Amino acid sequence: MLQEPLKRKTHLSIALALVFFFVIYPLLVDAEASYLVFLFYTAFMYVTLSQGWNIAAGYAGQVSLGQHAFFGIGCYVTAITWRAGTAGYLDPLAMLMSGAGAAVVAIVVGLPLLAKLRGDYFALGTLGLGEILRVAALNGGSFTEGAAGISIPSDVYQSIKPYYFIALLISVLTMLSLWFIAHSRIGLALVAIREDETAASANGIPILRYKILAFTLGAFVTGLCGSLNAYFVFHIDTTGAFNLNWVIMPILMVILGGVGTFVGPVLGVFSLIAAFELIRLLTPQLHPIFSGAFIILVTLFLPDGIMSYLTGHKNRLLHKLSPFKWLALNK
Amino acid sequence: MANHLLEVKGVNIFHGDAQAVWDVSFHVDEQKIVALVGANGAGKSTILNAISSIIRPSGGDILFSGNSTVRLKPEEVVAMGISQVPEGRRIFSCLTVLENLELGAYPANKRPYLKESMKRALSVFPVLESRMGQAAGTLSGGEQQMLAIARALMARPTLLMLDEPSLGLAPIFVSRVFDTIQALNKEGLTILLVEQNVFQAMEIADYAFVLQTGRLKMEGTTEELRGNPEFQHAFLGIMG
Repeated sequence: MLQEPLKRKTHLSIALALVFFFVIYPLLVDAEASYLVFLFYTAFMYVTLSQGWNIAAGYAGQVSLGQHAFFGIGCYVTAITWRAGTAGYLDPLAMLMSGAGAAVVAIVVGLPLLAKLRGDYFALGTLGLGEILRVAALNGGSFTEGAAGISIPSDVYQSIKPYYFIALLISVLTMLSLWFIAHSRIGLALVAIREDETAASANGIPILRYKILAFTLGAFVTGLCGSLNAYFVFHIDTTGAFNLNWVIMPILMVILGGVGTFVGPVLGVFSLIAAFELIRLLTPQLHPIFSGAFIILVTLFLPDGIMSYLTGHKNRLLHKLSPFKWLALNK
Repeated sequence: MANHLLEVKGVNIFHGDAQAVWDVSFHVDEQKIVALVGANGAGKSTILNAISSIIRPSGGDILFSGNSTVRLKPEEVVAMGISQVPEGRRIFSCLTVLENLELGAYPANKRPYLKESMKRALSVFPVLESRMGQAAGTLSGGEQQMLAIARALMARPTLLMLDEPSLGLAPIFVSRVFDTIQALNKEGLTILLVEQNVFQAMEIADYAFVLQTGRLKMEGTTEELRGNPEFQHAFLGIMG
């Protein structure tokens, strides 16, 4: 018990040193030409997306397969408000509106889904949400400009640095919020819901309210990422905005790092990006196959994630989460 | 009609299309130990879950201190003073003993008493004190049952419902759990006990209701039931 505060101090120093490194790195190199700066930007984005999924799935046990819906909403809210002239370039207000738009949809859809569907059925319901929104955007007429998508004049682009720092800021804020939630009564209630929903309910925990809270928070930060992505790609169409990558990659990263842990997803993001980049450099043609094989290998043989090897704490959590329960059959 | 603390009136409960409980009425008087006994599948746990508002009865009413609870949410029922120790303990195994206990005092109106409740729970189960930082899943079966009861006590209930507290426990723990239930009752706690272990339940209960396939079959004080040949035959293994 005596070592706890000491350990916490070391953890905090490591975190601060890392953030400090990421803040100064683009200032030391030629950021526009540096591939690493772009990779870090991508990594920050995925840290946010991963924790956005992790808070609902890893902590509260509600596995969503519809994160791409919230990402897409973020993209479209930003693109549409920008086209309409109500929002400017890298406009914080538009970004917040994008997050809020995703959060509102999460509440509206989450209320019936989380109240009525459990486990696999909730996951499938959310998967449907992404598909419904994609088709809706495809048939949205002049509002979403259908398959052609919304193009935004890209001449405002000057540097990757603002993207880099905004993505870093969002990911740090997401991590901070998650830390405070995980160490509060709310975090305790979320884990109780994951462990045993009926028992949590019998103990007086308002389970629906907390499930919605976790799901909505995840949607909000995912919407923020979608918004930043819209500003980065300058062209928003249905295949890019509602791409399944935005849900599959974060899930894989969280699993690789450690479901329901605080640091695990960050490790997962960086190791997966590093692994995929290496494979891509070594064998550009085979890259997609290796990526697929990697996904299968991780879920089969590393279900507890990297964190379990660092802490020696194998909780077999993934095997308790509904759509992954079949994995336990292999053991 | 004395003061019924809990009154279940003509309750019907369905699991999907299948009716599990048929027009069941019973009551629990203040400061008594009331047993709800019956074979597997008699609907005992279903009734407890209905009282906890985890499932909603499709007919009838449940009154607690005269107020209907059927439209309340589970957390509101706990806040009113009804706690359940669910069947199979259902502790949060990956959380510590301390965290399990803290979760027991979750409702807003119970939180201010957290320290006081913790003291009381630990005085009932001193074993738990040395285990506070341990993951609840690492406790023995008997200790887990103690934790489950302690967790329910954290919400300062006036009515404590226990669902099969003797299930899967070593005989020494069974008698210890029943002793504790009796001691809690002496301190003024009203108990609704669901048991398949009819023998043991009859030892400590004041009054019992007998369920059979979802219907109320008999009721009476434990003395009366012990003398009832039908009851003897069905539950006490005494052939008439």
